[in-house]
Amino acid sequence: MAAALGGIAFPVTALFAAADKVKIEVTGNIRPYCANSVTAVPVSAGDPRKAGSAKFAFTVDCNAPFQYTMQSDNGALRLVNAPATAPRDKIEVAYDVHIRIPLTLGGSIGDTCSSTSIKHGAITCRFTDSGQKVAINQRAETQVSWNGTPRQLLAGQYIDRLTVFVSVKP
Amino acid sequence: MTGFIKVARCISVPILIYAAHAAGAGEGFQLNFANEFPHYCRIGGEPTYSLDTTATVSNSTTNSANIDFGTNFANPDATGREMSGSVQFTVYTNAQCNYVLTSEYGALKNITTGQTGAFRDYYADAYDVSGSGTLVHLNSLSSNKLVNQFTISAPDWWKQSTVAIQFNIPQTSGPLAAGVYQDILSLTVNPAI
Repeated sequence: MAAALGGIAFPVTALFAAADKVKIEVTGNIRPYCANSVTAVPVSAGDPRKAGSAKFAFTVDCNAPFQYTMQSDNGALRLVNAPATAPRDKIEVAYDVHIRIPLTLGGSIGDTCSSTSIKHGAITCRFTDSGQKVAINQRAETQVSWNGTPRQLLAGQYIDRLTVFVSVKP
Repeated sequence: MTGFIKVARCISVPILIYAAHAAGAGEGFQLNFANEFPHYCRIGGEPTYSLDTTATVSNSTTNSANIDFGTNFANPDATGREMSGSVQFTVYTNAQCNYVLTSEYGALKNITTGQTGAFRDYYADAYDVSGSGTLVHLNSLSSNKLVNQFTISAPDWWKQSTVAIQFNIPQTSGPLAAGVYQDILSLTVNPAI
């Protein structure tokens, strides 16, 4: 728009802003957390002399990048109420445990550890963290498997307990 | 002496008057009454807010504001709390104005470093408070999303309109990824003529 006089023009719009704009920034903050941070997984073998496996599902609910650890009470399937003097190879059967934790935006954590490498107080297995991903209400699973053994084992029930600890990455 | 007055267009608003000697005519002059006062639609004054008590407003000026729900945005279990609010602006205008509301992300986007693809949907609308608006559901399908556009007729001379941006953030049943969620709503006002 311009006013003209005697061939001279100048912009009138320079004097008055015709249009306008407003910006509203809306923000909110959600704190990081992990629910069900500790999960105990019972492991029981029918006849540990024969190869076998067992699965246990649990929920991982972390809304922020997280890490986990897993530990075994016994470091093996162990005879309940084993005699104190019994040699270990008569009352214990080692096993492998595979853990899978799906991640919310695809992908998953998948680690396999031997039972001896996650024994309480002597953990050597390396656990993968979630990177930058999260796991919101994801159904995780542990699968324990053991090979049959020709060794003579004392009769009884063989069990272990796995505990999974999940926490927000620092 | 010869003289003339030229009136351009209909004069109904402040006018710009120019007078000058006509070139090469020592005895004449020309007086222009030109209705060149521009049509305008301007936002003026401090906006007023109607927000949940947990929200804080910062950097509020005539043309911008930050509304922060802080950590009240979610419950301790990370499920989203319901939030709502509106901001009202006074628009000074001498013309019919077009309003266009756009959203930066089409949703509340998790802008925390490393978080990609995490959104919280919500509703937003802009409307003339003398009329009524319809909340428009935003989603994460597109950025720079057109939310709403409408036109308000020119008010009587030198009056003003009140326009509101309102938004509603529904609660969520499931937990949301941690981080800072943000969207930027832009309301552009232009003369329709």
